[in-house]
Amino acid sequence: MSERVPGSFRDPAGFVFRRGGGIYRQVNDSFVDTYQACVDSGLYQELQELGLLVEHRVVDQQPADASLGSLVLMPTQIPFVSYPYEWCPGQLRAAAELTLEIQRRALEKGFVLRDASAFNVQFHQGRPIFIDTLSFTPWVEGEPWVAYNQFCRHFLAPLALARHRDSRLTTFSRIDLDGIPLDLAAALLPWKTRLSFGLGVHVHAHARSQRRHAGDANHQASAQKQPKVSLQAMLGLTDSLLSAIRKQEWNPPKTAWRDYYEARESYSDSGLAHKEAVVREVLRTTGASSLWDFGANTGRFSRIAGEVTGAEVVAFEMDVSAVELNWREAAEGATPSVLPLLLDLSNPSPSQGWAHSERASLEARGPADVGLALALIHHLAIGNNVPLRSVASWFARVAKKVVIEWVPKDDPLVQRLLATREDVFDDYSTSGFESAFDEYFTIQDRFPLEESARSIYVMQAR
Amino acid sequence: MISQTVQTLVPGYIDPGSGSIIFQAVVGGMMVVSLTAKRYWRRIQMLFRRNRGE
Repeated sequence: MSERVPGSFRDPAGFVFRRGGGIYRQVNDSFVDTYQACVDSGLYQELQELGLLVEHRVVDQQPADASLGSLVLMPTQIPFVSYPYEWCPGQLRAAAELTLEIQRRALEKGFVLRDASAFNVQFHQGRPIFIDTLSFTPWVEGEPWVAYNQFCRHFLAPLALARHRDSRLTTFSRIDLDGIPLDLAAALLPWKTRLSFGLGVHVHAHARSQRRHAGDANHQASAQKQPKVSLQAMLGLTDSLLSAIRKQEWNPPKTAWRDYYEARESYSDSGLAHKEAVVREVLRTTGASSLWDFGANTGRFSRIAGEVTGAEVVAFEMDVSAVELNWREAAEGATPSVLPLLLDLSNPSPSQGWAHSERASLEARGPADVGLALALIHHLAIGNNVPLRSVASWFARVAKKVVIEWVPKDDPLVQRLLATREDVFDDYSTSGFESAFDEYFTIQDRFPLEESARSIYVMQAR
Repeated sequence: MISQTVQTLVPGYIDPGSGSIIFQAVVGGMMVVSLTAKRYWRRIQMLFRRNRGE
């Protein structure tokens, strides 16, 4: 029984499908010659040896749609699929640089990228990796790069907006899955960005050119203007985009979450050490192969969780500065490998795109073997007025087992949340928490934390 | 007649946008001019250095 991956329908060259828990890619007959040309040129081998392109092997499997083709590839399985609107600016920049590096190497071997979607990139073991094996086609001298505009929309525009306007604008790709339209980016960017060569050319002037030629399809005259782009020009364009991308470095400003552990507001040194020891102990026996850390901050406990379980931990955090720092640590090769992602739990990534299924919701990508939620529940229950029963119900849908740090109402940080508002949270008590979770989970263990009224609960979904 | 447009002249499954196609030809041309100028400038600099060395 095979099932086409809903996000893989645009490209007639092939598609991705699931079968028996594995991910496969069917190469349609119409594209087999191009695929073989890529193999024969040594392009795949070069990109795979450099760790830029996901490795794949031809497998003896039935195609998912025999009427379209018979060649089936099995790529290295990526444990968690993330989307560009869940990445911090540093991750988007790394994905952009990877795409351009691949484009340059492809051009040198006589090929070109047929698309430059940010969705073609995934993160695995602290590195971006290109997953669309069928994105290449032979380049014919003089042919322009069809994906130039897509690259600018998916990568350059959001990075420029983060760098020059506001980092929250990178999540715009959640609204427009095909990247930020360049006319919109040009309107939102500060005027001074017109003076920088990269943005002035690839965003502002590019947007003007699009506007000017928007009606070309209705004019026969434009048929005369088939532009030619030489190899030198293609390589120059790639270099120029790379230089523009590199200038969009975003430095995370100080925030309460970014500096949470350094501030030592919630724990003394020994209290924090005890919490770490408890988390290590409870995770050691879980045998988790997938672990989601909610409210992960800069990933301190995500790394502990990864170390103890051996799982590639996904570290969700809503503060972009904290995610950026976590990513930088991962990119520098910190072990164990953690995948930091930007996520507001009060509005997690939905199922969206064509037919509501092109991009999967967070819930549809689970459940994880273990969900870790340390000092998080009070932000959902009090910060966002989510009833504890609803919190418990959602956690039971995204994780088979949860490790939760419960922060009672008299904790100074909960009191801070209540300082400016009426306390309408009568159910927010230890007994209220236990009874809400008891409906969906079996409470297996409870560990009071030293020097604090907080406790860590270990619970198995019913 | 409508099919005789810039969009349909470039093979691929995504719409490259005619404005982007025309524009990149210009930018690509600029890059070639810039690279060539840089190359000649470096040659001129080397020539002067060599002369000074002599």
